[in-house]
Amino acid sequence: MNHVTSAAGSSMLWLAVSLFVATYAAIISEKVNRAIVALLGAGLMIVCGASWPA
Amino acid sequence: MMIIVNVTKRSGLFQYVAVWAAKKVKAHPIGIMLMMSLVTAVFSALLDNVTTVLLMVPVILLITEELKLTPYPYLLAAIFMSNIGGTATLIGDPPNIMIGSAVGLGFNDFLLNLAPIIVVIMLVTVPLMALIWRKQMVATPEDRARVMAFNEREAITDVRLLRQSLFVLALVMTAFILHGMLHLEPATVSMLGAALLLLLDNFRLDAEAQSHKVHHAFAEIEWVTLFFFVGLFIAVRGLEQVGAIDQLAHWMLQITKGDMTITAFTILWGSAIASAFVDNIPFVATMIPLVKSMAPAMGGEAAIMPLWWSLALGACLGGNGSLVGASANLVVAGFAERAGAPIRFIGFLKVGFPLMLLTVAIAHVYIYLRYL
Repeated sequence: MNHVTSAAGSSMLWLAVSLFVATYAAIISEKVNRAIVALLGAGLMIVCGASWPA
Repeated sequence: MMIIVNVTKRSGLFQYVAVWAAKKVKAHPIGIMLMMSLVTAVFSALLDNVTTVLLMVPVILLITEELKLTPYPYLLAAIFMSNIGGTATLIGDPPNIMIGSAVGLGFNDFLLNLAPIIVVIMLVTVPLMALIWRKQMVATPEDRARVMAFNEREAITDVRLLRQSLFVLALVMTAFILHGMLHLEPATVSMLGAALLLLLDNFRLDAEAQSHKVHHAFAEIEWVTLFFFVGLFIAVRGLEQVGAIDQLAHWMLQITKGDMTITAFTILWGSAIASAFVDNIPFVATMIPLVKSMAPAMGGEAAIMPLWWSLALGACLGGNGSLVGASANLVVAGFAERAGAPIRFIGFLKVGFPLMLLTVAIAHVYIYLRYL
């Protein structure tokens, strides 16, 4: 079940999860328009190598 | 669909239907409540919820003003029915279209699995609302006569466009329903429908007029929502790639021991409560890969269909739980504020949250009886 075995993979997992949680929190807070937050989160997710265009 | 609706809106078709419905019940306040609820639910099943309330609320305000009624019960009914009606179809509410395209479910799948229970939920909630607010819904015969004097035909601003819109809408709906035979994705059908309606609407106009009309049709698309989708899907994809979603699914399976009943009800109630307070779009975007990765452990893709219906029902019906539960709620609240009948967070919660629990409870029984 566990996809992440290496140390680098594990830090990637936490990075991606923290990014996602931060994005989600920012969406809920409604301080910034949700579309801006989502695009920012998506961009950062790609920059840090967790997501890439299919 | 957004383009088709934007163009159709200009013809006055939706206002026509609303005024016609009010007159059908002889402008009786309780009859209007029932009719407006029904019309809102039907529009909401075919249009998105925000568009539905944007079309319905001005008509509701106009009619209640003539009848010297407080618009409050009618506005709340419009909110509830926009969320409930939208649950019934693939195109009625964003979570459904997201689930549909991710899992490969068509228009009919949603209609056959969700519409029956939505009808039941409406049969329970609409009379309940009429009962709650019956004392506020009284009008004099003179006021009712004024509403009866409305001419619904005046709402139609463009007869030619009305014919074209009805023609294209009928084609699109037929294609949605025949989707299994035609092998066309709903998105393909909508795209062709939009192109056809724009073509008819702009046929034989000069270049400048065409440019103006097309510009207008595209400008009114819900770009904010679309870009929000784009961003979210990329972010959720990131979670998938690093294995976080699988991890989460693994934990969830440990808790539920892979039991279908427990999992389905956890998803139903969990998404209802979550969607009452946070936007249901990001929630569903995260839940889709989660449910997908639970499939192998729970008997494959066909076996987990009850989980998809639980997710759709929970996420859509949950929107009624609070004033911030769905964007349509806030749009109506904005109108209500301007009309001098503000909808407060707590006031809404008192009616909305119990009503939401009731509708989810009905959905619970339905899922149990039909799928488990």
